[in-house]
Amino acid sequence: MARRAVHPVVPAAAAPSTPIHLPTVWMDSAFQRRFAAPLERALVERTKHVIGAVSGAGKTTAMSALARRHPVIKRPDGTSSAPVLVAVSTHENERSQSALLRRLIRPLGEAPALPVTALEDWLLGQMNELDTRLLVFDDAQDFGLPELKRIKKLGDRLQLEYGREIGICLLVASEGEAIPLRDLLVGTNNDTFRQFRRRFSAEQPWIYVPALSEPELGEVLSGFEDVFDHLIPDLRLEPWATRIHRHLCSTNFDPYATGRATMQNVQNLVLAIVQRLVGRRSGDVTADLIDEVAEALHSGISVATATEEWEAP
Amino acid sequence: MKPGPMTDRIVRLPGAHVEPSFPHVLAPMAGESLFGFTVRTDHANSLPVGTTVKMVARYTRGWRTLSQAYWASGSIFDLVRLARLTGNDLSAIQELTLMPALRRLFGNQDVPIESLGRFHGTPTFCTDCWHEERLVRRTFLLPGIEACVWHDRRLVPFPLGASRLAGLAAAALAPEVLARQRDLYRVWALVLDTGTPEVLGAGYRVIARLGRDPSPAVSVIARRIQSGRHSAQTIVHALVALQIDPELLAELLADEAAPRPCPNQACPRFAPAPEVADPVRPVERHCPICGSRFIGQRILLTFDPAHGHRSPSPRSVAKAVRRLRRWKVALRVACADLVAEGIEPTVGVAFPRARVPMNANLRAERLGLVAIVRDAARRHRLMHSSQQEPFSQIDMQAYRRLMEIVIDRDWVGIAEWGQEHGVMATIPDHCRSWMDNPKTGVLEPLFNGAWARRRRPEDVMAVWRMATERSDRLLSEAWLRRRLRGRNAGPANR
Repeated sequence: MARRAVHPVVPAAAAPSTPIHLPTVWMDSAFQRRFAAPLERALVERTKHVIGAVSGAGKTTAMSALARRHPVIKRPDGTSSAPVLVAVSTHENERSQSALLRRLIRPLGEAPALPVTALEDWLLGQMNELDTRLLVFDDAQDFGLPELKRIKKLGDRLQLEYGREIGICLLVASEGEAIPLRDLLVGTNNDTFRQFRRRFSAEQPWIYVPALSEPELGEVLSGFEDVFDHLIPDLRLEPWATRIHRHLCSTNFDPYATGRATMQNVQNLVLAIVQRLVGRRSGDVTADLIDEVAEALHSGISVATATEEWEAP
Repeated sequence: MKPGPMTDRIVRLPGAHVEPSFPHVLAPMAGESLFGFTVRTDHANSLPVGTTVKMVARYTRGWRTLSQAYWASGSIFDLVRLARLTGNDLSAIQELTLMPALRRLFGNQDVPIESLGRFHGTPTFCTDCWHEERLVRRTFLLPGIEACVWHDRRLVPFPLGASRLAGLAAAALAPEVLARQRDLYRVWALVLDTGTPEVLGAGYRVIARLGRDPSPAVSVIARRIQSGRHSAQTIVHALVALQIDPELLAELLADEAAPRPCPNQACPRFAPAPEVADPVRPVERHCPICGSRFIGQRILLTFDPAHGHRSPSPRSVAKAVRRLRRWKVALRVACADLVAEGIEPTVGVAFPRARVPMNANLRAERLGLVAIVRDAARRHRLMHSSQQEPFSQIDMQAYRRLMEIVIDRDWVGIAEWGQEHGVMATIPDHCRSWMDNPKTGVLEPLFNGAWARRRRPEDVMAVWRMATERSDRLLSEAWLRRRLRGRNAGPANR
């Protein structure tokens, strides 16, 4: 691997004690493109899917990106549109009847003060008026029977009362290629689950989206070089894609042996590398540094030193 | 930034932001009321009528029976939340109420909604306006308005259900009622849209002038206005009852806006004579600034030697000035007597007592006669009113510093403190007397603003009389004058 000589240029502002935060960026990585494809297709064709990917791969980010591509628009003349409504699964402690509805209303703005039954009727009317074509639920692996029933009713009532077909995507954290909700819907001998299953897309009801392969990881690393350009102008991460991929696909980081690197692990690793480089006032990435950082991330144990003692302000 | 394969595909994301508004947001229409806007918002969002009101009202029960005054003022509604829910600026929501117009009209930010008039019942609306434009006009809330002049329909009260909105049919109006309603609309429009206190002032003056009319109704209205128990509704109804055209009022305002020029060259209102003489025969007038009396360009009487005309002669001007000086001395004596007797000095009382003529030109500011009465009136109010103002010359910090010096018995330091703060030269003596008996003495009321605020004016005046030395008396008097100067000028010219 040809490496050019790098003269570390670290700005004075980036002192070793300065904590470095990952800027809030969205990277159009291969995983994002793979994940967006079924979502966009469901939006157009109004089909229903369960889409799985390993935890930390970037499902929520992809859902947010979809909501940004199809935002809720409110015009001062009273006309509005909301093609996509996204919602995160409710917490176990707040699984009331209206919790899921209120999560769906959240992207629209303030929920009106109405009883639960009236709130569902109102939401259905609004989805009809706002031309909503897709509902996306994140963390759907936490859904139980009440939530799945309510989602099914939403779709059924829209079709019956307003004659509208709506797409529904349930995003789940998969265990490798095994999708948890699939086992529940297919394996359980329950009429409700069978009905729910029957409404899903006939061709692709379960979609697994794999995380980053080695070439895709190199692409992402080159993106991080740009992101941290203001801290380390000559940061070179892409040449180390193979080594980083090998670390991130070890059992320490990839418990389901998918052979893919998740975006969360990549971010953590790169951030730790940059933190160390800035602390050392160096821009030179070495194999030892990558190994050291990967080991530290895996063990998760750091030794407090005397120089890090906290002083009262 | 160096080029790379991902450079164009990295998007720096802003923070997640969800607009906390209803799915359908509306902008207020021109002239729309708060009531109509909330109903329209409910309709746009397919919500039961009253949902928005319940969400922004500070209490939720009985909103259907809220009186017009609440809708006109918006006082029981959280307008900030309503602005957020409907995606509008707060100022646009505030314009849905009548408060901005009322504040402009009275020139007072704290004016209560009652200053507009008396409100009766729940909000009303015109069924035709609602069906055509979905509009409930703000003017429907105004006191006295009972009909829609756009559709010649009587207004109907807000029904208790949205379903009844469509079924209502309002009755037509009798011609005389409609004519009176039209007049009310016109005068309200003049009063509120102009939005200046001068409109109300001109209206009061017109009615007060016509109050000499033998008609009992007009006299009652005029007396109410003169006694200060009036509202905007009073003036509007009086103007309508007297059939005074609003345009006439506007003309009166225009006349008052341009002050008449004065031929006296020493007067700030001096203006050279117009090239083309006024065809109307001039009448005798006077200048409210310099006190000169004149007919056209001919000055009859002036107190300024440099008036720039051949007449009046310097001798007659000097005579007038001497006379004015005598009046001032007599007026000061009369005012002092009135204050001593506990009578509030006014022009109507003090001028006859001092044998000063009650001519209007003698009330001119530059002559200083009214100022003498006004100062005496302030002094009288200070002695007989319970309201006190904080002592502004010496603050509490300086006073505490003085107390520390006094406790240290640093007499030189006390004298220096007195020089630094411009107070009496005999202050070390006062401090010595205060040390001997801290509960009495003249030190406290003369320097401690908090003390003066807590005490009645009589007590302050008693302490003032306690000052025995001449220097103390003079300095105490200066202190009292400073207090008097800070008070707001009252209508001494009554």
